[in-house]
Amino acid sequence: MKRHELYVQLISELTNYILQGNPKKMVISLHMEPDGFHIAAIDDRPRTDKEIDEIKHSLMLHQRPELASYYGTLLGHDFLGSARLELIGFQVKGVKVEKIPEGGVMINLWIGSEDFDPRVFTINEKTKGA
Amino acid sequence: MQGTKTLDTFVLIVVLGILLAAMLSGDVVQTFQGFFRLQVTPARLVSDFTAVEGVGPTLLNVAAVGCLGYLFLILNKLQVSGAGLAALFTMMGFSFFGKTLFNCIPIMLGVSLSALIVKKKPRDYALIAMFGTAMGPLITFIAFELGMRSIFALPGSFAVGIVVGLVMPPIAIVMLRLHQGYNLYNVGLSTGFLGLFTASISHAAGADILLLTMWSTSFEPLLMALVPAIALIALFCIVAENPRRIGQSLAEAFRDFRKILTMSGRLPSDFADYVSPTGSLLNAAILGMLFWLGLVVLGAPFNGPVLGGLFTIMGFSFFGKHPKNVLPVVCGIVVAIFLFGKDIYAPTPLLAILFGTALAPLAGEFGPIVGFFAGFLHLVIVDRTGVWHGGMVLYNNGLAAGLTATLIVSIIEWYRSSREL
Repeated sequence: MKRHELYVQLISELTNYILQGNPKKMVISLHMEPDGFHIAAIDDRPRTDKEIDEIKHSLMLHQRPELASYYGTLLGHDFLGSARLELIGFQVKGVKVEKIPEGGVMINLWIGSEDFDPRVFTINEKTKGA
Repeated sequence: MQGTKTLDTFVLIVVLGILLAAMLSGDVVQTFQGFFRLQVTPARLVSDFTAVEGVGPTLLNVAAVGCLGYLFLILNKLQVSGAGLAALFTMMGFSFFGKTLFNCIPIMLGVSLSALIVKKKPRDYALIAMFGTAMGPLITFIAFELGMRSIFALPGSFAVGIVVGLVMPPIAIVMLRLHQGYNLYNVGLSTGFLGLFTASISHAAGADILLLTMWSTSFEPLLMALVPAIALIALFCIVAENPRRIGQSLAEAFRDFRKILTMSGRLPSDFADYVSPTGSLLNAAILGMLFWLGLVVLGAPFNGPVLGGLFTIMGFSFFGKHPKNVLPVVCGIVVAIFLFGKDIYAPTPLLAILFGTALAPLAGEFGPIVGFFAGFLHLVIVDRTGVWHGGMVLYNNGLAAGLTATLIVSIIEWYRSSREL
């Protein structure tokens, strides 16, 4: 149940962020592993390098357990005001943000327990093989 | 890492400086005697410790509570960040008028236990534990004011403190969602909510708790010099990052300060993390001095509660407040004070000007007009809320700000969502 809630909250916040940019297309995928999961979000809104850097900066703030367990509970709950990627950044173990050839952006998030290592996450191997 | 060291240095210099000031302010033995008496002094609102025991013991209490907060961060392996600084300065600020080592420790232990119960680490709730010490007066009340024998009163008060700490995280988390991060003193709303129950239980048992009014109006140069001294320490820490290029360090800090001015300040806005430690240090120095100058011009007393307000403003300058988002709120409060014919030098209006800045994120997110109305409403409601909990909750303005923010957020949310549909 706890994990289910986290999926919903993370996807809500991410969706909120992407929709604020008024894209024409948005795709979100969730891939589960025993000790973690991967969320990928793609949209078609062109972004500048500065915007991409800002997304990375917000998501890649180092892990803050004291903020994640308290203020992180706002994740996916508040839709008044701007979406906040920092709230997602508190929770994630790995982040990859890149422009896609179609013009939009792809945001990859890896989330897991204390022992979770996104480097050995199987979706990387599958992606390489595809 | 350099930034973290800068903030660490800042905290250490401030805490040690206050300790030194306490030792130099008078006879050391008398200072310690006064400090120990403060631990058993009623701590309900408004108990100005500078009026009770004088400047030296109060400063020693501030330094001791500051050390407790700092040690708590270290024990929990947390770096000194913007959020940590807000919590530390809030703890120190309120130890001018209510928090003591005696009444803080049980609550911090209770919150840490709460984390262990839900299989988290105590550090996960460290901020709640530090802010949660707002309920300290309840512990002091049970221990020393109820008239019970010490053999029952001391363990009883400790146990109540633990219980308060245990229930604090769930309440704080739910209250946060009520106002959606637009009240910076969320634990104020949470402890106020809890305080309603404790005061009602006390009332039901036939023991009505009355507010206190211990409010010093005497001029104390040492207290007046504290905020400018902390602002200077902040500037020193900025230039100490790169002593060979002082001008460049200050220019970079000013550039980052301007970035901070563009942020809403909504919880959690850790300026030190999102922008830079030096930018947030400059923000703290500027905001602290602006309020200090305002109080000097006004001729307000620099007593314990007023310094508590200034410390809290400086602490939250790392975590949500900046000149641009606090100004509309302060204007709203001041206009309400004059419109309703309140005495601006009385404790409630004066403290509302300082602590009402908890509503700064409303101005930051929705503009100055919303911020102004938030401040106006805050002054109206804060006049009433203190009686509800009998002064047991030190963050009375946090409770009033939480109610105000919840009202405004619910109206804006309803209007926006209905209109868009």
